[in-house]
Amino acid sequence: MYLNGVVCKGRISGRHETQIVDQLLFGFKGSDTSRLKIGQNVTKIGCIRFKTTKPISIRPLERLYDYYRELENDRLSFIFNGDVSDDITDGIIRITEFNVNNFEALTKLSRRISFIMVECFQNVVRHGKVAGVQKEKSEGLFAARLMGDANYVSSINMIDIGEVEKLREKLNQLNTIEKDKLKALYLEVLNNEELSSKGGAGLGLIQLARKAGQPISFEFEDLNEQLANFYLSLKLKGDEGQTEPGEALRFTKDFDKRIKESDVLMVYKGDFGKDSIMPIIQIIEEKMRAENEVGPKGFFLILVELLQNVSRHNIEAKGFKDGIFMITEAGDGEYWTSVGNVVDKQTKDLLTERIDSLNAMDAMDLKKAYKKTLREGSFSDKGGAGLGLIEIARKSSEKLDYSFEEMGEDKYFFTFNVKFKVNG
Amino acid sequence: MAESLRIEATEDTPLIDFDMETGVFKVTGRALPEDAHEFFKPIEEWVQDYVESPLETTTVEMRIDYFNSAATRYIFNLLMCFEDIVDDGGDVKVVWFYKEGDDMIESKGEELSSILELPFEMKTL
Repeated sequence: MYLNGVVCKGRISGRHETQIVDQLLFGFKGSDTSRLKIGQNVTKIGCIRFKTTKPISIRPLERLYDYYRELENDRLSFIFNGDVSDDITDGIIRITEFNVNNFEALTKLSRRISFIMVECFQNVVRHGKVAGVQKEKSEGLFAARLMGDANYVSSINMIDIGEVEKLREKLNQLNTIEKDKLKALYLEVLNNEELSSKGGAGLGLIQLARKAGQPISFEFEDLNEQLANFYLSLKLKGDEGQTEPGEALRFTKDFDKRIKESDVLMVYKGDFGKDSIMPIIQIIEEKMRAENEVGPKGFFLILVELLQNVSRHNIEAKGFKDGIFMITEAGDGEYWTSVGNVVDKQTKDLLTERIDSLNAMDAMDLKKAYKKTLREGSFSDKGGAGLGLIEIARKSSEKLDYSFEEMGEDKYFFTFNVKFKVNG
Repeated sequence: MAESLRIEATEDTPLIDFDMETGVFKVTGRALPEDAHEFFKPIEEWVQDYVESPLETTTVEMRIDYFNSAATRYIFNLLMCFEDIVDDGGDVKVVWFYKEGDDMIESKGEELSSILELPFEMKTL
């Protein structure tokens, strides 16, 4: 089985370990094919043909529940893989502020968390470009997890290998300076006229060290002769306890590896109430717009339906509308969007019945069902009277994919996967 | 005569501008409210009163960018109220605006027009 036309920039991505690079179609002239492997970083842009020994598994359904279990106690977590741009900063601030202000364990940290997130996030954006390497967008990772008693923000980005030692020295220095002296250093650098054009001569890092009030965890990893990965992680103490040193960094590296292997673009875990959904939509809209020239309108609408579906069918066991949401690249301009949340038996039965009946319909039937529901939809029902699911089924490029995992105590984890073309 | 109805737009609800001076009723912007009922119910009630004694001509201008399924349903209900004017022999039409190439809004307009018994005009912006 062959997989053609995979465009690589940065990291060769693949969905199955048995994939091997079979042929270089263009863009890698002079490269030795046999040396390229999935997961390897390359600095050129090109097209590769993979040979696989097994069918490619592209169903992200099982993984979503794994991610949920892992992040289950988080009040808010999000992970952005790959291209991040400044346009989504605003959405990130909004969603963070809303969640932090509505979570008692975090309100004291409120302003500091937003500040650290934005600074750390923009670090990925700003330093994502490496001189001499052709990349149109930043290729990094940004992750934040707020749990209340332990909170952290991490980033990964590529830097020029020549900057590693300078940066290591700077970070070591920041970690040993006493807190009250950091302000003096900040002012000194601020007044220094020889600021680098790129962001501001480490001002961001000094600010991060000041606000975190804890040592900055960092690590470098050489990728090739030109590039190195820069891992950065900041912890923030909650009311009690803190993460053990290095834990956040380990989580980030591990998560980075897993989501890049499975082409996950982003994961969001947290509240799905009205005030959280709008910023999520704003973030995704900006993120997708950056990747596609045409406005991905159909995609956007499915997202709204899926996210509002989580909000509507939610048991609110934790005092907020908890759920998880993930976007995975499926190749050929197609994406999986997956949502998951905990529901009760009654909701499980309702959703099963509705989705199964939609899956049995063809396009004409769906159109008829849509019009019929519009005409006859029960007027007492305040929602869309099932219109949302019909709309999703009509836009989906495959049958609706769902599952329920039994969690005990009459609770089920509902996973819903929809695959569609962004510009279809 | 009823007062004009104006509701400013928000991030997830459209601008409602039903002008009793001109008889032009505009719905402009995004309609993505999670609770569509809360937003549309008062508007629907206003329209139900209006169709009892409408102006000589009524033009409903729909200029929607985005809408979710719940809003679609309420917009449909809203437009259906105007069918009463047609039934009473009055003059009413819906003008559905869409951007050139925006298949989604265009097809949504066509779909609604096919199930509504109202003069329906499609127009590109």
